[in-house]
Amino acid sequence: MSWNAKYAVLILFSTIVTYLSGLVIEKIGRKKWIVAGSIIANLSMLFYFKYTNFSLSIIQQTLAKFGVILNIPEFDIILPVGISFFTFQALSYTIDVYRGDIEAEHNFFRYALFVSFFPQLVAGPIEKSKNLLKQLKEESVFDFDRFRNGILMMIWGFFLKIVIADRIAVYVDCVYGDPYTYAGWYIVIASALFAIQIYCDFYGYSSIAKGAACVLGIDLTENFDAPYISSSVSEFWRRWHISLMVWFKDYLYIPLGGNKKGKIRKYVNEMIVFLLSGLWHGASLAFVAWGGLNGLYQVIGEALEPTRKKVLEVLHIHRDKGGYKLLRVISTFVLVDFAWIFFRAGRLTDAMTIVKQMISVRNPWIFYDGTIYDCGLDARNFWLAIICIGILIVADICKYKGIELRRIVLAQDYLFRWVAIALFILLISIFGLWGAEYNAANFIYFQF
Amino acid sequence: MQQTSSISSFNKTIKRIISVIAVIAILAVMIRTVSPVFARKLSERKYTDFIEQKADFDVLFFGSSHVINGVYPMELWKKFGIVSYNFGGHSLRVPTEYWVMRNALQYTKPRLVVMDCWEIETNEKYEKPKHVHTMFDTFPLTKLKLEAVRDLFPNDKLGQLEIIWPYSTYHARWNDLEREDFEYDNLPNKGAQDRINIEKGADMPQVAPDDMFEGETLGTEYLCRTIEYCQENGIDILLTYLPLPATEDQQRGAHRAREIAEQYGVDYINFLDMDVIDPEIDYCDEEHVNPAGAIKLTDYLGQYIQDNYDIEDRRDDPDYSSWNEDYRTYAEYKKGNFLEEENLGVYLMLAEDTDYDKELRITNPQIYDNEMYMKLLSGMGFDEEILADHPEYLLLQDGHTSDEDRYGLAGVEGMDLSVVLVDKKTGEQIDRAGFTVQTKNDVPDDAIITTGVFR
Repeated sequence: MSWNAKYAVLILFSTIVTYLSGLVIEKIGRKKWIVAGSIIANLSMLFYFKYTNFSLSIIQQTLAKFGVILNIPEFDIILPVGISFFTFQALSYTIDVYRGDIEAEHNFFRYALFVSFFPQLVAGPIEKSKNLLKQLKEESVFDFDRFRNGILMMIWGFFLKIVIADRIAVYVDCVYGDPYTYAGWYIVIASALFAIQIYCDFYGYSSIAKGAACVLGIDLTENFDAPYISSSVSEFWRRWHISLMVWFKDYLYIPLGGNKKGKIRKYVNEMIVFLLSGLWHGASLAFVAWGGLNGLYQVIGEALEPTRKKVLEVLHIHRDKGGYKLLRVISTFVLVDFAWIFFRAGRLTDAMTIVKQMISVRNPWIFYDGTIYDCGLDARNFWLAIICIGILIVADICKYKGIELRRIVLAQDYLFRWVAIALFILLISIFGLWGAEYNAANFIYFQF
Repeated sequence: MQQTSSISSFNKTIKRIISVIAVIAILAVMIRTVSPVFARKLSERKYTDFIEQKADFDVLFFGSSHVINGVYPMELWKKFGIVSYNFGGHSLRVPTEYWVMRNALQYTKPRLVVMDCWEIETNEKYEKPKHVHTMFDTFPLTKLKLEAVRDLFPNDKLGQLEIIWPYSTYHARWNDLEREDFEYDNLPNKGAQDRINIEKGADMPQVAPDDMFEGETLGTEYLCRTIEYCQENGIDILLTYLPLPATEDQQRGAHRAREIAEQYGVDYINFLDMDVIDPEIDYCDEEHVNPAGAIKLTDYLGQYIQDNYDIEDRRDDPDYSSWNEDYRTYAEYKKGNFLEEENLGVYLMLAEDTDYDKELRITNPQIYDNEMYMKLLSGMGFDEEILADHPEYLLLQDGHTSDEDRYGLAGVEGMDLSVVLVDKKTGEQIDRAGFTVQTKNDVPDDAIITTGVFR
């Protein structure tokens, strides 16, 4: 991925189109063609940069099945960073104005700031105009507590990204790069680690973004809420990439009818949302499969809920007991993690290979003979990653239960606070993968 | 009321500013404390003696690994009383060594700078950043160091950062810390490093003396800058091209160095055209000299410097009395090398050192039939005429060779070669060892392989 200033014209185009759409709606009334125009303009731009080659390859493969052979070249189209985020954010403004949820913004520069606000430009959270635009209109006064909270959020984000995510990435890349050599339990471990990697990578970025915005006096949407403590896939998707799922719910799922048009239609709507969410993440059938799998989980989970309830009653298993909850959390993680295989593989054929290699090879000895450490992480780094994941789990459990660890730290005496914060930063600097020795993985979500 | 409120607000602001400064200060102290632990100790080990010495140095040597391995300041001290330091750096070319010199001259003003001209025909400044680290880590952050870093890493902010702030690189060593990172004995060899091995040097192609490369390179540019800087600051400069099995391009570079030396009126020693070392026995690998070769080079340079430059013999100078103590430590280190050595050829190479008297008992005639071993034996100082008789006993004492058994090697059985090493100065027996060997006939030059060593 490289940077080129000329691609700023794309965000400028999106900004101008959606800004004007708001003014036109205000002037001539709520006309669907204005919204349609804004959507078509923005999605066309997104489609061109993100889905041209994918679409052409689908057409080519489909025609080939009917005996029509077309030689379609692959175009060298660079995917501008953040395009999936700012187009969605800009479109949300048009739709919100159309719906009357917000008044049209007259100040072009304020509106441009809303679209291009740097902390969340490249990887979200996707902000609703009624949240961010409203704050940009308010006078901002420096608030020390907010400044401090913002810094602490950023520190936490760096811990997640450079200590955990980038470290785990070494292991995952090694295994997924050669699933024939690293099969069986290697893939199981790597897949479990990938679930943590993508969480820490994305949550880390979001935390840094939210912290930076907080320092500037802006509150961004919380994008993650302890997702791996979820007891069901539907709960997971209420806690993971919250801003995107809210966007799809508000601007796709509800307009399609949501759950108001019967069960079957509800399931269809959910599948559409998840399939398109998968496609939003990447121009590849693997991403579509990932989205579809999550949709299936959701649909099947809902469909089987009455049966599950009955079975639990018959077996006298209580849903509020810790053991049952733990089982639900683990099973949810397993389901979600299986789907992540498709996400990480990037290509459907590669994903199928990895699944096959995971299932067909049995090698439990890797836990005993030290070969578990043959995938780029030596024992110390491996166990450091595990310890840090343990810290993350504790933090997420606290968050799930509404315990704010930040408040607990800040409630201590000043000397303890100062030393604790400085020590945490020091440990991040020591154990983080940064500096000339490392070529840290870009934030995964930057590619979207 | 309003006044109380504003005072309270002011106090709160002050407290908050203090808390931010306090966290930053505590963090800075923590990083400052742990940084030296994580840093690679190579730079510190290389420079500690240089930086700690208050009295001036007379000669500073700069260049690549050929200098670091080829010039022993402790030998110059012992034989000539020259106070010198070895700033050779692995894979470093003249452009980097120019900046090392500039930084070193912040601490001392020598009478003479010796710069080796290895690879002035190239436009490379260094081979790997880690070598630049070794040369610059210990120098404190000054304007000059910043200037050097910007020059060595143009358009490379990350490269500049890692030299300016080594912690950004070394924090990753948390996983590689060893005992040496917490405590180590600093060997007082004044920047030099020895490579203890023996290997025949590669053949060197012949290039005519007037065959030199045309045009300017970074190497020639910085060589000229080096000379000009020394001349502007009243420091003599001697250029060298230390021996190695040079390629044709390197030899053209050596010839060009001569032209530059003549242009500036400075002395130049091209060891490529000389027979100071023996390529059969004085190399440790493809291109670096071993201790025997280094001592020969050092002796030559020491004599040349003594004859051509006004450099004092400071062996009786009280300001440099610590150098005698340093030499004793260095001498102990040299003795220790024998006790660990298990290869006969390397052992004999180390035994060329004139600090020791030696007696050998040779019972295996193949040793005498082997050309390399005969060279080693004559290199040790044994008289060639007596060697030619293939005596069973060889004693070298006070520079004289005889076939006497003074140290009772007659009682040693089953060894192909037995040896006793004696410290000339103290008479102490340093080592008594026996070696068994076998000839490997399937190797074209009939190499002798050491099969056992007994002490």
